[in-house]
Amino acid sequence: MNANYMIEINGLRKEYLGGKIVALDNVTTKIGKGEVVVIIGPSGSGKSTLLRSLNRLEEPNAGHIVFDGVDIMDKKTDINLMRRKMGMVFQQFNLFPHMTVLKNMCIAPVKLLKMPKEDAEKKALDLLNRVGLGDRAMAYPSQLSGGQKQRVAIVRALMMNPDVMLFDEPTSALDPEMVGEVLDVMKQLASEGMTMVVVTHEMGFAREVADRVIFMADGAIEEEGKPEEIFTSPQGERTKQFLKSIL
Amino acid sequence: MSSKKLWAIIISVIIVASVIAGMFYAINVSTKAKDIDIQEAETIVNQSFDDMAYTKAMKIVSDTNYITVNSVEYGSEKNVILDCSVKSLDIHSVLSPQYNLFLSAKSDKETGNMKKSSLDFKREFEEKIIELISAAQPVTRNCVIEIFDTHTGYVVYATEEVIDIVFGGWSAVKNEILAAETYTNENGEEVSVEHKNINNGFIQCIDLRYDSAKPDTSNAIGRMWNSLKKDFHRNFIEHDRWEMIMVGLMTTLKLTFFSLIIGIFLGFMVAFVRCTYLKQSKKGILLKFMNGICQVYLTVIRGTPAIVQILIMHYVILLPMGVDKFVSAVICFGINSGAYVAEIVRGGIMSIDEGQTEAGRSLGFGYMATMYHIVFPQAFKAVLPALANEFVVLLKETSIAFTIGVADLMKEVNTIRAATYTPFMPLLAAAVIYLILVVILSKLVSLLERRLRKSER
Ligand SMILES: Nc1ncnc2c1ncn2[C@@H]1O[C@H](COP(=O)(O)OP(=O)(O)OP(=O)(O)O)[C@@H](O)[C@H]1O
Ligand SMILES: [Mg+2]
Repeated sequence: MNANYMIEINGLRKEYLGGKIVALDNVTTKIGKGEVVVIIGPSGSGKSTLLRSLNRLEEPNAGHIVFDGVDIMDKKTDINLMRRKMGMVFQQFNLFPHMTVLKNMCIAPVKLLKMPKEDAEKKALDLLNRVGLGDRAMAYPSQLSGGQKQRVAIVRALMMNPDVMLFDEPTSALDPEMVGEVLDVMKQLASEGMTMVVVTHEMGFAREVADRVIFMADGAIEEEGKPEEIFTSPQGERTKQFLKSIL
Repeated sequence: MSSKKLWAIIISVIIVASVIAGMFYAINVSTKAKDIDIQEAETIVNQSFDDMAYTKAMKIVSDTNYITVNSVEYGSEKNVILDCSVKSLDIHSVLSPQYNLFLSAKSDKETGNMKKSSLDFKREFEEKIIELISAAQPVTRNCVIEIFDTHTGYVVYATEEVIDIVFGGWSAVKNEILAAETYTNENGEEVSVEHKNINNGFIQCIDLRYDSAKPDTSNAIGRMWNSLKKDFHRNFIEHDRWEMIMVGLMTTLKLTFFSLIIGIFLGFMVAFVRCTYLKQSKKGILLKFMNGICQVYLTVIRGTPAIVQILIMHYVILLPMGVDKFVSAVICFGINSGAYVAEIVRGGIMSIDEGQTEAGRSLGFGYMATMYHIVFPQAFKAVLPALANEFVVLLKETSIAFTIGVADLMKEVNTIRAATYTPFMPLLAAAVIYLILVVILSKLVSLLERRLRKSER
């Protein structure tokens, strides 16, 4: 076991419909501490499934995931404790509509980490200020734009002081003019040394921020490497095809 | 202002004004009685006083009396004031000296302490009274008799004084007998009248049938109104019956409230189990078992009439265990509404986006905590209108609690109905009270709903 790795994935397999669909097929890779990994690939290739398997929102059928030295596939592992250390950001934001922005952010640290309410609110306001939403603390999610919602979703995850942040197409549901503001927050996060696993179609972001790009196809890792390698001299036929189709 | 609007206002003012005018007209067409001549008036008064006497003794008095009308004068209440001379047997003077005889005739001592009913006394007095009356002398006195012009024709309004004169001192005799507390026995001793039945028996011999209420001279609408007023008085004011209704209403509200709490609690529990069962891919044995129980519960409760449930619940299950009927009803309606609430809440929980659960779980909340903090509040809000509707249904449903004897609104109303023999007012009261409660409840819920919606915007 290497202490430099945040997540080690080994032989991960995920089937749907009793094996009719193999969403992940023997996926093995390691994600280092502070590394920013971008996962790309055609629709249905298993990107979301892989990402969601990391915090066991999807239950893999086989394989191992070791997070921070703990095998989270182990029955004895309390997955709820592990999830606190893994922030997740969804395509559809998934803010809690019945709570204000502040409450959205404070509920988990207050209820789970027993953080005093005042401390949590102070921290939340601090984070909101950093993403330029300091004045929207008392707003309800329905009063925010898409970009604002996603920024709130990111800082909500950060409230738990996660060791890794998982992003599943965080900008896909946004109007084009709002994509930038969310990517900026993610870039800032990356520059602060956060370990990030990002599923995205934003190739610019991948090129600029990623330490490594993983290309997936048919539930398997087809190719992985530094962004410039993947983007400028892809090796596999499918990678070439995919990049050609989206660029 | 547009001319259309102006017209609408003018027309509605006219309609309202004519309705009001019409009502006044209908109630007060005329205050003057229709014309009547002395002959007619005489026939009417003689006839109706004849009709009042229905005991044998009083028939004899009325057969010999005759009323002569001297003059006719019209009053302001559709009444005619008749100045009359009345020839009648002077029964007061023949009966008055005999009180002692009557009162002492059948005292406890003489009947050997056997209790005699008033009917027994009546039989014994009757012969004697008739004998005395037959010997009475006619006297002529003057009096004023009023007759009222009602929808059925002229009706005599006989006050006690008038009756006293027409029947030769009848009222005086009656009142003296009723007031008598002692009599003098053959030894000259004052003995108290202990037996009320003596009085009653005596009264029954010389009783009259007459309506002491002023005749109703109003027309159809007025009469309807008057009879409604009378009904209202009889059903709600008399014997403070409205208090019974209030007590019943409180019981109904308490019953609904407690049932509701049980219903919501049960409903959420069952919905929670059902949703967990439906969502979870790996179904544990415990979950399967719990789900099975919930299924049976839902099927049985929703598949049988509430009235059957409450009868079984009370008489078969809870009464033998010594449970009070109110508690029985609360348990029964709680369980009943729980089944309906469960299905409503299940729909609400299922309607909440799966992403909400995932967001909660990804933050580290367990399944229960996610449900509690994130899904339930949203589901509750989503199903509030349906729940409110269920509560309204429950409020109305509790009206069958009277079948097991719970003294709720319906039971009290029924009691009043049975006591007054007038179903209209008490049942109307029940309907109106239920309606008001339902309307208020619905209003409150829509207010709450609006508040909740505002908080989200
Ligand atoms: N709940 C499910 N039941 C059945 N099949 C599923 C389910 N979730 C995903 N799949 C299948 O698994 C495969 C991988 O899906 P996944 O969502 O991981 O793809 P993806 O790479 O994220 O695609 P996209 O870019 O469209 O989001 C697809 O074939 C998909 O149809
Ligand atoms: Mg996806």
